[in-house]
Amino acid sequence: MANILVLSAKVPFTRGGQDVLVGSLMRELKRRGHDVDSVELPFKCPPKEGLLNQIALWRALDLESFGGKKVDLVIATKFPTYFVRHPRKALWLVHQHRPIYDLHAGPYSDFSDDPRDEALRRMLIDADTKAISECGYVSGISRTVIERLRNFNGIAGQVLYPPLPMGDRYRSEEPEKYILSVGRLCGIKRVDLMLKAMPIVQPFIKLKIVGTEDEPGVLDYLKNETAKHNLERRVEFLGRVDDNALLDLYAKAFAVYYAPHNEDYGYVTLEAMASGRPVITGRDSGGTLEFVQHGVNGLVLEPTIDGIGHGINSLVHAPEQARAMGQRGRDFVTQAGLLHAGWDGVVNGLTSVLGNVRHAA
Amino acid sequence: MPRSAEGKLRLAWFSPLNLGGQDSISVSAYASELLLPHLAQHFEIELFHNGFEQHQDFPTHHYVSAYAVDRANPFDLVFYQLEDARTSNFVRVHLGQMPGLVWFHDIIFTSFGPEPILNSPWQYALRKFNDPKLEWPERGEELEQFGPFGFRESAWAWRAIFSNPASHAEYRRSCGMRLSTNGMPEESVCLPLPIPDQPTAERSAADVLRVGFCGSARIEQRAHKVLQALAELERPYKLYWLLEQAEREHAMNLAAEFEVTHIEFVVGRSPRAWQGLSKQIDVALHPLFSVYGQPDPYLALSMAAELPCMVTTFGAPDYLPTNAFLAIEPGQTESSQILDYLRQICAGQHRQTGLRAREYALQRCTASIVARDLVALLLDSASRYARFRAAWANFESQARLDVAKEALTLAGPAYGAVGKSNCESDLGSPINASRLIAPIMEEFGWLK
Repeated sequence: MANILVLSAKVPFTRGGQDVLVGSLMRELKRRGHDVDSVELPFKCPPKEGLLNQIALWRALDLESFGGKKVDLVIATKFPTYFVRHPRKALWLVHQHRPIYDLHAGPYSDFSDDPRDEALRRMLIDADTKAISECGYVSGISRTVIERLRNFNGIAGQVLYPPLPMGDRYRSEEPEKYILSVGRLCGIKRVDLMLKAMPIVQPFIKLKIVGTEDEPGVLDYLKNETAKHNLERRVEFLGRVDDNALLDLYAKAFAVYYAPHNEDYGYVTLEAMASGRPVITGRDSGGTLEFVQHGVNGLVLEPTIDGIGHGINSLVHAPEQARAMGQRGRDFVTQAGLLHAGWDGVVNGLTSVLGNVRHAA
Repeated sequence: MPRSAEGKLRLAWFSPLNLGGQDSISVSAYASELLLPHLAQHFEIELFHNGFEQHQDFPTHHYVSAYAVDRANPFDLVFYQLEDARTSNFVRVHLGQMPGLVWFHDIIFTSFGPEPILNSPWQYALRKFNDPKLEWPERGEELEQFGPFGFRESAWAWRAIFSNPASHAEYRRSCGMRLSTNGMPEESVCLPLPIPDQPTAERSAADVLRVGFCGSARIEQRAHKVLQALAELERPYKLYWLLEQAEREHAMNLAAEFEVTHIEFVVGRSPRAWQGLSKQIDVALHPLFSVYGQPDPYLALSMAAELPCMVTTFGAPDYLPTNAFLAIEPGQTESSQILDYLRQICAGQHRQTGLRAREYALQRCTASIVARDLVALLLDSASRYARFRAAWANFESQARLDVAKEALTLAGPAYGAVGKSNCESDLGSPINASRLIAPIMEEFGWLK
């Protein structure tokens, strides 16, 4: 069995899909007898120029061996972890630094047309291409992520969908009259679209929002919108909830709203499906569209207030259809091996770089 | 200077494109389709757009990778098309990052929605390029943006080209800041939008007067004036209204308000669709009354089809020869002017106007003529553009070094502090952040 380090970069005091993914991967590697640990450095941006330093810090790390124990494999996950130097480097790409790629020149990018921003953007793209090309095995968590890598950096990779973190614990119950939104509260997740659509949605439908603020002022903004539209009785901010509470919320939701802008993957989509709930997403929601089919297991709507509001009403008026969509979602997740079975494929792919390396457990 | 195997200059063409055979409303995509086959005889062309699909047989790239394509095999000329549409947003951004010749189809941009370029320091950057002695602007400051006038876009245009004289006049009147090499900005020029070569003037006969209109139902397109005139027309008529699906409901409501019923709504506005429709109509209405936008290429297509065209004497059509169109003075009598012209056309008048319109359009606007002029313009620009690009490359190097310097400055205090608190006793001296970071910057070539 091998000594493996899983590399992670995160913004302190926040929690998202990346944390779940790293934790699940480590658990599954250990379950298969590997000696596993993680290396995590804080990620900070802005200032943008600091990204070069963060690359340099990862690059400067010596991860060859610790206390006489040789590291057989490092598994990088997201920018800038893949800048680590190691002879056996595998990549399970969560995402690159998207403001220089697909988000560039839009409202979700902080790269302006300052010539220095452009210089920085080019430095980062060139460096990304070089560092990712060093990986012995390249994969990503979704087709969306892998297509971005191929299109922007000319690097091919495998798609390895992360199986769901809570395996077969997801369940379905009699739906109650609320839409559930799960995810970090930040602009790109577009929870505000759902909230602003609530005045259009039938008044007996409520909205429950799970997640914590990931950008300064977002929660205040959402609460102001709630007050502005007199929605205090219909909208509930639940903050972070534990696993059991989350499973319960999924199980009883009428539908789950998840319509970020060009999402990488989105556990929420599949968690909703595993709970037998129809998923409401946007036409430009990226990774969610790999799973959600309009009218089959959810709704793919125009990402506008009207589009979302009227779309949800169409579902509210046809509860049997909503139920059938939820069931088809559940069937899809089961058949696609995203509950348990998928882990073999993920682990086999990522450890393929090891070749014949074996150590005593 | 020529770099291609065939001895042609290399041309980078940034524009929205009609992809997968799909027609679109984009003026830039339409012009690209007509001109690129002509230009390809003179240049080695690579296309850049905001996507990954290929366009015909041309090498096609996402604009984000333009710098890498250029680095691998430099372009002799960089050309942009910019219009007031969201699909042109990438052009708007990129023309400040690799300035070149910009063909403006609009100079006022109202369709871009929220300001997409956050804290753009373009005025400072432009001043610094024009005067390298100046310092870079402070980072992190909130900078005010001006709009919707294309000050920034026109300033970054190394050479500005305009498809309508009204925009050109606005540019000369209002846009003071210009990019310049050695203190001399390039001369701006006009180049009309193309129409297909050999347009037909044949049309089927009909018992009724067939009126063509391709504006939206919004007030500046004057649909309400057209409908009012038709409501009062004593002779049988049929209105063919080319519009977009999203405009249809508004248009139907407006027609109902004026009790105009003889209408065929043709959904899917595009120059190609209008060209098809122009074979079925007897008169074309282009009464745009606005400083925004221009009636071309629809007007030019109507003129080439030998149609008498009603045009407002305001804004973009101001340059037309007065005997080649039917002039409408905007205002209270607008609908009665339209009505009078319609009656005269019913009585067989204004055939000469149509003939003169066609003659004018064929002399100025066919794709081969516009392409010939554009080729001459590009060739004329090439040597001076090469000098500009050399200066721009130097400017980019300065920007790059400034970023690296900022990164090292940021690294210094942060990791110096770590060194003092944690590592001093072990290492004997604080960690020198620059010593840690600099070799890696060297490795990635960031300090060049």
